[in-house]
Amino acid sequence: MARESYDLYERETDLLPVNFEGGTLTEIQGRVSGFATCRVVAEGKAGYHTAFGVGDEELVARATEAAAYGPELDVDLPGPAPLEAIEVYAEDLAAVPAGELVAWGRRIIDGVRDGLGRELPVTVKLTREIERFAVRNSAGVDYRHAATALDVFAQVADAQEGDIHDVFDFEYSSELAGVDPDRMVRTIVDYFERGRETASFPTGTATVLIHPFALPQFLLPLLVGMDGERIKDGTSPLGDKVGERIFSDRITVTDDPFRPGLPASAPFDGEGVVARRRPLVEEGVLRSFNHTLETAKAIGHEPTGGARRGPGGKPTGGVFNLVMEAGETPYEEILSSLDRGLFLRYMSGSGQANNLAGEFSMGVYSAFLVENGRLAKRLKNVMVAGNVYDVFQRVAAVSAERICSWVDNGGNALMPYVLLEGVPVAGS
Amino acid sequence: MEDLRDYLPGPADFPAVDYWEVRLEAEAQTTVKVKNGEVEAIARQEFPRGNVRVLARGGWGFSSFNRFEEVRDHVGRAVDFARSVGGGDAGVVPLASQEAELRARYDQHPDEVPLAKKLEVARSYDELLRAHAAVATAEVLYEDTVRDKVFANSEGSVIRAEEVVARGAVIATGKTDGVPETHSESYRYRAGFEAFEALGETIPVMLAELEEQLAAVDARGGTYNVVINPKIAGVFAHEAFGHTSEADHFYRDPQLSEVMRLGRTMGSEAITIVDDAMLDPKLAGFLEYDDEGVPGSRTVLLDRGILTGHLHSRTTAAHMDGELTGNARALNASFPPLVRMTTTLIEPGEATEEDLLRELGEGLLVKDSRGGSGGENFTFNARVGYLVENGKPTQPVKNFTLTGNLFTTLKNVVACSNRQEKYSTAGGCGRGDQFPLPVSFGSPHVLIKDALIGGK
Repeated sequence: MARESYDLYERETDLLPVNFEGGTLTEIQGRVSGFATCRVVAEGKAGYHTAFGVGDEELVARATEAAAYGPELDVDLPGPAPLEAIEVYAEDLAAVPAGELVAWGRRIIDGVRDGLGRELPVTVKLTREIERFAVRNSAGVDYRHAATALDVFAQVADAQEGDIHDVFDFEYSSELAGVDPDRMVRTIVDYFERGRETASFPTGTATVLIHPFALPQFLLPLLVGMDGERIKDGTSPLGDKVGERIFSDRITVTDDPFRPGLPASAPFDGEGVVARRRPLVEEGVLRSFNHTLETAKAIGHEPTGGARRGPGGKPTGGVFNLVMEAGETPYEEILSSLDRGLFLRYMSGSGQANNLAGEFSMGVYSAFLVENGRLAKRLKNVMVAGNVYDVFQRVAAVSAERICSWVDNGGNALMPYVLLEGVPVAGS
Repeated sequence: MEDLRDYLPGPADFPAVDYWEVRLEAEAQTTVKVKNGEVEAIARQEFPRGNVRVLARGGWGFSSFNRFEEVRDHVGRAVDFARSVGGGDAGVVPLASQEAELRARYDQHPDEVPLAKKLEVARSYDELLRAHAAVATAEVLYEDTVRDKVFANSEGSVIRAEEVVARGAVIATGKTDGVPETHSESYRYRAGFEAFEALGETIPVMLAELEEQLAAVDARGGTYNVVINPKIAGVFAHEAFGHTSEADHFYRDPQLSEVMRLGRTMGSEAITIVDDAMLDPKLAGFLEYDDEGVPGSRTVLLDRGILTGHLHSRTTAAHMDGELTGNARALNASFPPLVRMTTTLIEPGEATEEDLLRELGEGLLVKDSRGGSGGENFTFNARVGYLVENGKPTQPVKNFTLTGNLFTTLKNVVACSNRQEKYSTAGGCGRGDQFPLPVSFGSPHVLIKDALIGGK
């Protein structure tokens, strides 16, 4: 970096949430918020400042003040480069009137009630999102990007004392046509019907079929271990594992910034690093870390892209879209081949265990007992706990189908169903 | 500092609405991070935020923004949204006009402490952590926030508040057989720089606890009788029970409202849970007025096992014919308020901690939570525990989770100890996309039978 250099990241988020509570439309919101965050390196020291609406010059001046006390920093800011075209801004979605979202919400509520034949309370939250962000730096980068997203969450509940039976579904896309309210209705009704009876599971080990919603929760320790900051400070168990096999060879995970339909797809990251498709784990072999410019330079690695910027100032390493390669077996075939096991759709308590060490320990939030190849009963009071670097050695199958999912701490994901053997379970 | 009241719209700006409120805030935050002897970052954030919220024809409209001078545009937007809801049945419980000017409480205002001093104290903590043989990496976080807020509504209330919030943490990581183990001590108080200076006193105890954690072996999963310490019991009260008491979860769900009907027996006689906004002005959960301009209060949620209170916003109280409790809170002025907790407490019982362990006999003593998620089926990750034999803690264990069904667990509470401890840690409460909201906890030790422990 030159003697004095800077980079700026600016973001504006425009949300239109439409909320139904218990089947009744109660609220329409418009939420607009933005910030610009600046990093200055002056005399070899870094300072950060974040504000709204003050202009680049003023931001740089304020960050320069903070740099006087700041840490020494050595980064090479990227210069301008050609960007890959990725279209995740849909005009029709950006302009969708609240009334259309209201109509979608009613369709989901009516569909779920008709499907179940009961007037149960249905919560629906539909949010239209427009996100614009820009990166400018002293090396001449001046990029901007915009994305639209439609998020639709729907949940039905049948509450009795001692057992609240609720089922949710969540779909999102950068395009209106990417979310299908009727498919959400079918999903909710189907899981609800299969969960009428409840069961537990004895303590021991089990074969578990992990739904695409729960899969990123299981992969969270991998993301924590791949964090460039953890590689730099030597606390990650993955620091010396690039090129080594950490998972079963059935597992391939990629950061794919160019996925149509996924709103987090973008041609550059929060530091102006040009996005590229990047294998993280290839047939079980660790291939990459998630660096910022700072962590990459500190340990002599190439920048990876995927860095995120928030109002906190300092960039953090990450991914655009966490994408797992599909397998060859149809999901229905995997399920029907399972005589007895657990089907885990969504877990509670993700991210609380010693993730850095690879540990996970989660309770079931939405899960089923599988018997004779069918989802037989809804599981309650069951936990799974173990180490990802152990259980992902025993991958018995990866489905051919994939579903849009998400990483709990932010980020889009595209995931298949994965069958794991010998997962430790605690139940009764 | 400019007077935010100058930007407030008036009644004439809101034709034909049933209720309106406006919140404006200017916030400045300084953050210092030191890690392994190096300054990681010095950062400052300065934000204006505001919103207008309107109730018209039974529907809510909300519009948030960053430019105070655009507030009247957002009045129009919020009114349009509310009318688009059309023919809703939402209402509010009215309140007499409130006027207040709230001053922040602090010994040393953070703006009067030079950055060099903040850095010097942070560096000294980092050195203290790294001087310990078991510590492989050390991190110190310092943060101060100064906020100027104003609230106004159609009842004629104008509440202006200055807030000074201190937040800090010391984090140490050691390794057992190459496996990293982390422990931390943290605070979030309505206080000035003095809170950071006090953090240093906690470091020796934390390091001793880290050593005990490093020596612990993996716990075995299964069903145990447990004594949980105040740091995890407080999180249980908040996550598992407190969230269930937030009326906006059930006010439009007749079946769940029946489950949560006041007067029902939900727990054993040994357990009483309270949410108290006014307990101690230093706690992060202290709240004089909520974000609907309603005074904070003490609400007994569960009295010796019987459900006696719900947490309300104006809307849920109107719908359920409940009393206002002052629990409508937003993360900041970019968000609409949701029903949220303040300081959530399990009230103390009669027994001593030794009595509880004696009564436990064989089982597990669980110490501290790394976090949790609540609702009917809750999960908390414990930092460390002890196997208990003949009423005495023996082998330290780790890597386990406490999980269960709320209703079953509340009935399985056998006893609470007579000493309540209060916590106001750096983390916060998350609901939807509003995280981290400042909250505090308090609890005695609690004896629970038949708890499900997830281990290896």
